[in-house]
Amino acid sequence: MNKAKSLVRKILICWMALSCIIITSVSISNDVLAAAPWNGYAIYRSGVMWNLNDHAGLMDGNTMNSNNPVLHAKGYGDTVKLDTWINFTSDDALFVGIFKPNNCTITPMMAGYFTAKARELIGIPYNVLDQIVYDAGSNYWVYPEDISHLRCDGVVEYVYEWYNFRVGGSDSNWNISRNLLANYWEHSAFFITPRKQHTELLTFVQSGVPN
Amino acid sequence: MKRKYHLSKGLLLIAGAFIIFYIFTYRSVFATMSSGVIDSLKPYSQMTEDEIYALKLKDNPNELLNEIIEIDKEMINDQGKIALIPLLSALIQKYDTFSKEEMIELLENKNLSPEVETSLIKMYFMKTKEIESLIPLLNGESLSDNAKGYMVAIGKLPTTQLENIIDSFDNEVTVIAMKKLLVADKDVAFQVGKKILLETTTEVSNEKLIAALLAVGGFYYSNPDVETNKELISEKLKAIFLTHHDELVRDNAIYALSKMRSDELLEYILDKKDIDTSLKISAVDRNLKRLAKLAQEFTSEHELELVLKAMNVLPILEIGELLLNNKNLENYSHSTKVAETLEFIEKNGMKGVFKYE
Repeated sequence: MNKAKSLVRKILICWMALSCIIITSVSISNDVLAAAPWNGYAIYRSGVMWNLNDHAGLMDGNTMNSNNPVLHAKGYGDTVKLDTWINFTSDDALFVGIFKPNNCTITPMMAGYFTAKARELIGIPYNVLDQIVYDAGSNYWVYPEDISHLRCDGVVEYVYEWYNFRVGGSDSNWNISRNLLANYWEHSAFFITPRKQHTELLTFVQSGVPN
Repeated sequence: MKRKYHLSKGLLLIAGAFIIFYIFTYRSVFATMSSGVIDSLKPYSQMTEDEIYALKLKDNPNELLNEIIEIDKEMINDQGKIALIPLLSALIQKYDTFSKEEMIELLENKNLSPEVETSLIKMYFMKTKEIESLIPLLNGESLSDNAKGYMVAIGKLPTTQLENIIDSFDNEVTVIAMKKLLVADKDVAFQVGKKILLETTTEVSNEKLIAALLAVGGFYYSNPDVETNKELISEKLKAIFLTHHDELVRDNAIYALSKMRSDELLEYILDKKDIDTSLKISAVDRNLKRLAKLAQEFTSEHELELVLKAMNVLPILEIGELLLNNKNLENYSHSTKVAETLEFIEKNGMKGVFKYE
């Protein structure tokens, strides 16, 4: 009888241990066991309208508890700005996760590079129709000062692709910072959206918040 | 004892079942909780964006426009507007079914949301390049500032009109008009910017100041050999950085200084303790080609020091390589700063992105 009890107990312990292991694997990708500092990483929260899309931002602070840790283009009437964690997540939205460019290790130096470029976008007004709106004349590249409007996923795309980390777009016209009509077209309308960006185009790091 | 054992077994079973339930329902719970409150979007809740777009393409254009307007009315804040992209994209594709006059009338008479206004403006410019008929809307009350800015951004306004906008607006439209003026005519943009910075005695808005900073920075960046007013303007920019109350204005003063293609100004930025690291990184990034040239052919200790200072802010592998291959570096082999910087680049350096001229 004691043997049977002990066997049942062992099975139950194994059951609990297995559950914990699976939970951990849901929260943290096998690819990267990342931890703070999180600056330079892309973050997403759910949109709330029947879960039709999501909202993107970039971590500027080391953690969600830093002062104004998020850089994002929130919506109409707003510009790209540094913001509080609460203003990024909003009341009734859920945090989706933390992501990074494919084939990129975000070192502290790289994070500094990303956040410096992202901060150059502060003050640019929001637009929902396209990821980016610009007039760069005859320049080869699109500089921050050429951009008139950005969507939230455009902020993430511009920062990463400026540093040549491909996010979305066709093989020949993927770089949003290249001043070509074809590249502009690849980033217009809903060819790429915040949800497509994090589900198909970036590397998942973890679903837990950046603390 | 037996009862206790049964109790703990029961608890363990319940806990395990809960955990497994959590794992398998995590995504669907999340999706359900994320559902919104806008009933008119409910029919699309199980569709992908491509499916919504394909469906809406079949709609009558006016019905689609009215549907979007109705959905908009239900939205109490902006955070879900991203959900409208496939509907707005389908509407925009129907630009040819609206006449110019109809679109202007809609923009004049309806109290539309910025996303509908900007969609109509986009549709207008897909139909025609003529912009004169829209100019009264720029000065009217019916459009949001966002839509006015969008009109200036994607339309082709004459330079005189852009100058008028910079003069008469004090919001995001001012800055967008200056960006367009810089593309259309840098000399005119410079004159407008210079006037705001050096000749205006009354206090100007933050937006006008940012527009002026963009103008002078853009002008000197495109005209590296022009020295006219450079010193005067750079002193003004430093003063703005040191004294202005608005952080965005101050940051833009540093961005403008870093565009002036001056080793002295780059050194000022790198040395100044009040300037944060992000701004220093931007300044180095903006001057990478110049720094690479200096690494290759520096002629003085001062020039070498500038490269070393910059590489301690933003270590770039290619520049480290150029320094190592420079025979002139042997004259400084005793310098610990050189050795330390080269080691720093080796450990932390990244591949450079040489996108600035």
